[in-house]
Amino acid sequence: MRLMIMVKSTKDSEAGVMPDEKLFAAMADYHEDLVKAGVLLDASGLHPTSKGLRVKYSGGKRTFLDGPFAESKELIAGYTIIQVKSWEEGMEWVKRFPPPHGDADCEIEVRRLFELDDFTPSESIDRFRDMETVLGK
Amino acid sequence: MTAPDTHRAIDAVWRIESARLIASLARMVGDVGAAEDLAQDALVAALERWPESGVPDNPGAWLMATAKHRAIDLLRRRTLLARKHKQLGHELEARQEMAVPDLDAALDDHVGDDLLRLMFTSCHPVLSTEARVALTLRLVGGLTTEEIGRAFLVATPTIAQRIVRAKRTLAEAKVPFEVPRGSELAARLSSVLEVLYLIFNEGYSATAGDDWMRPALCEDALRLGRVLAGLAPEEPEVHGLVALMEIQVSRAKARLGPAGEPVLLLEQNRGRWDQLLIRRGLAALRRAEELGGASGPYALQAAIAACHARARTPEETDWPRIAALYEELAQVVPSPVVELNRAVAISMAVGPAAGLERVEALKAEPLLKAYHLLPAVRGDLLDKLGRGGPGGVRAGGVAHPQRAGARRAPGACRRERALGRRRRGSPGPMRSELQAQEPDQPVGGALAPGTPAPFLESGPPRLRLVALEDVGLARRELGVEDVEVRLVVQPERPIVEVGGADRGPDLVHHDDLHMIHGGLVLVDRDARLEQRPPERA
Repeated sequence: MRLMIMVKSTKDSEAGVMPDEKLFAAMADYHEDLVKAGVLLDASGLHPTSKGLRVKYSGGKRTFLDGPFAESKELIAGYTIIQVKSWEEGMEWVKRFPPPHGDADCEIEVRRLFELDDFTPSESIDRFRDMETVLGK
Repeated sequence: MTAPDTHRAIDAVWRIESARLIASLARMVGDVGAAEDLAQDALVAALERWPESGVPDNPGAWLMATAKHRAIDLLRRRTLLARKHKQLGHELEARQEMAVPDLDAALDDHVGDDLLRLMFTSCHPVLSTEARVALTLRLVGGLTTEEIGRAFLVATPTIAQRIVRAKRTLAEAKVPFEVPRGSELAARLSSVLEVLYLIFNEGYSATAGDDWMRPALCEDALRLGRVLAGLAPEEPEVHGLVALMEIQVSRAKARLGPAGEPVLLLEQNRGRWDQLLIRRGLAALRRAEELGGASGPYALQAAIAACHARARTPEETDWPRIAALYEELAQVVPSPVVELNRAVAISMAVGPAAGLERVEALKAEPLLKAYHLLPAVRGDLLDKLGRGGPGGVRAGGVAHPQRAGARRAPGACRRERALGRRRRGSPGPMRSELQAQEPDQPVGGALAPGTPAPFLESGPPRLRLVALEDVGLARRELGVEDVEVRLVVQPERPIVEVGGADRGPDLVHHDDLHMIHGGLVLVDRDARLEQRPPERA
């Protein structure tokens, strides 16, 4: 199964403050371990939402909103995708995740990616999945 | 945390730590068999203690420390190793004084090298291929004997036996626990790569109804390949193999239709190819090429797979480049099967006449005498040229692709069956039996003889025989006790004979025979049987 470890934003990360060398090193070590174990699929940090965009859908209309956005704890600052055999194995890796913003209070969130096997095959599910992919799932 | 929770956590820790543990212990005691026993002892200790004490903060270090104590006991018993023991004692004492994270770091210094040694030892040529596969999955992949058995459709005791024998063989042959050097390295590395690719192909050839352990083998192989790429980053073929596996597995979800039926490469919905894996595969291929390994056999196969991966539509496929890559591959690993693939690529790039020319040249090739795909390809090219195959003349001359349901002469039907195509659904303008030649198939047969190449066919995967010797499987699948199944490959008509003690061999009706390739057969479960004709054509 694939898990996404999402690092939530902080005020500093939203302000574009780059992590210090120590934090970079801890993250690099951790991700190197993931590579060595053959479980890392993808990882990246995200620019602050000041460089982002939102599209709101309401009453059949679209509205475009430029960042930055206020609720920094709910925003995502980066992600790591791993492929593991079980949820427990994933948790073993999550436990080893270094505090992502050093000493600052912050959160990470772990979510499981949908896989084809999660659905029973049906034509509409198929079409839905195809659409998802086309839309850049 | 409840006891079952703890057990699951321990399983997870084991999966992450066991290979490193066994590898480090093997370096200490110089014997992978003893190392595995020690690691298992540590696991048992964890199973006893952790449900009460909780899982320690650094479970890997805990297991390692426990196992090392036991290793020292073992070495102490082996009095002749007294000197080594003393050295280890000091080492352990020194480490115990360090803080836990440092201990982990200290272990890490060696662990990469040890893991690499473990891979090379598990894939040592003194072992049979089967034993290499089982040992690698067990020691490096962290799979249980039962899991390996399920994945390979082999009884657990058989796998257990295989592993025990393998460990004994390694000990008796006094195989040193080391990474080979110099001229030996290339050959030994290719054995490791072959084992990983075998594991991958075993998973890749799994069909929809199979136990999930089978397709999971792809993940295991890929994971081991990624690990190996980290351990031996300078070896281009390692990256080549990883690239090949990443790109192949990127298509895993598009390979099966809604009813679990296989879908040909050129008919797959490319929107369902996993772009993340493709990206990783292309990056790995680039690394292989940057390291000067563009002409390695795995890198070449990966480059061929990459041509498909890069094409957004089947029409965009760079067939001239694929043909050129096959040409290069044929020089590196000369094989008539590669030549046949090349002929198909040429026919796609230039036209059926050019492809046919190559195929005609291959007819004299003794190794292809019994290879059913040669006549199948030839017949298809003849069809495309409007000449009709040798097995019969098309009822309506040149077949109209849209009239797939139209009545066909027996010869054409047979070829189509031999290629496993079913006349159902809408074939579409790209319909071509030839695409079966250029499917999700590694030309791995050329590299790893005996590997059932995951040859994509449409047609229901109801009965799968991996190697026809496996009559037991046939018995189970056919639900007949006294059955004898034998494959008879003839140039024009592959036959499966089903016979029993009390009756002569029957033939499975060729219409019910969907695929034969590299020892892989699909037969309808409700296949009709025919009496064997007095003389076989």
